[in-house]
Amino acid sequence: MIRFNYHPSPFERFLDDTPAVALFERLRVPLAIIAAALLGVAGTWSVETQRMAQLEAQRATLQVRLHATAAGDDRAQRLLADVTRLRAVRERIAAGRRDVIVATNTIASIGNDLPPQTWLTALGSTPAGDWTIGGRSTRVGEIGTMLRRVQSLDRGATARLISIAATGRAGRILDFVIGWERRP
Amino acid sequence: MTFDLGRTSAFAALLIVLAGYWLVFRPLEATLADRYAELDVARASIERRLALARRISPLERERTELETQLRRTHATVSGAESVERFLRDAAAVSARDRVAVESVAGAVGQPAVAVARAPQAVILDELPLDITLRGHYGDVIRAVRDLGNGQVPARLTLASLGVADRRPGERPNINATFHATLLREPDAATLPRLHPL
Repeated sequence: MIRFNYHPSPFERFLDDTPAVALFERLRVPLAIIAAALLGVAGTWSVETQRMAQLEAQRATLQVRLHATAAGDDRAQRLLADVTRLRAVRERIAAGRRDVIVATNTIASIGNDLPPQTWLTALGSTPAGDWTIGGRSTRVGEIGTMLRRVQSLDRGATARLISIAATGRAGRILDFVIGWERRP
Repeated sequence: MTFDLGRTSAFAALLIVLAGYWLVFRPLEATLADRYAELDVARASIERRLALARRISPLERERTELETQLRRTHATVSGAESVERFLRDAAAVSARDRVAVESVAGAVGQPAVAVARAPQAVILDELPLDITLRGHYGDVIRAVRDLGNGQVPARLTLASLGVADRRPGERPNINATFHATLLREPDAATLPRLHPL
């Protein structure tokens, strides 16, 4: 049985209507376009592959140099860590010695700058740097002077009166306690 | 509808170019970018190592100098030797500055501790002691300064100072108790690794 295609596709009609030579003639340009596209892709691939090969070669060279410098780097890192630690130790020792000077200067300043008719009976300090100053005076006004002088020793600190209490015969002597707090 | 060969081939070429871009160019470019980044890191690492290697000689000199300084301050001696040297200092200071060493005691409740400024950075061992001096106000202050400049690195802070009981034939004196913290390098086994500055 012979079957007839009464509704051929546009492509079939194109093939039916075009002779073989004319077909080649007509296909030459489109094939060239496709070939150019393929060539372009292949060229790109080639260039990228070349670049990749160059980078791999550079990477291999750098790896060799990295390996060569590894031993020196370890040694330098150890030295640097040692020096850093020793510097820190030296600084801590220097800070300790400075603390002694600061503490003795503070004690000397408090003791050397007493107002008239006033004397110290006790000094105490906490590790946080807060001080308690106990003393006696015969004049209440001088206790105020003492408070002001303690405050002037360190602008960053706060001096406050904790207590005043009369003591001694006939209550003529005044015991006082001043707190001196150093802010961090 | 007719088959347009020109348009179809142009479309095919476009598809090839797009496929080439997505399947060849983009992946290779991404890989190349990674490689460039790796090379940059490697180059930076080599430059850093070379710069550090150039510092080896100065660092060695500085380490020797620092070790000499620390040996001079006796910060490297053992704990027992630190205490011994401190007591010798206290005896010498007592004679020189006319103060009496009333007591020296290990600080109760404060065992030898390692000073740590940062969580894992143990720099120095601390040996806490309490020392009480009796003498004239100025002499005590001078004695404490001398102790602070003694053979053993130490940090002295005032604990308490008060009028001392007056003994017959004596000038008014004070009793002063100081927290003395002897500083020494930790033993090699416990030495920290500090991050370089």
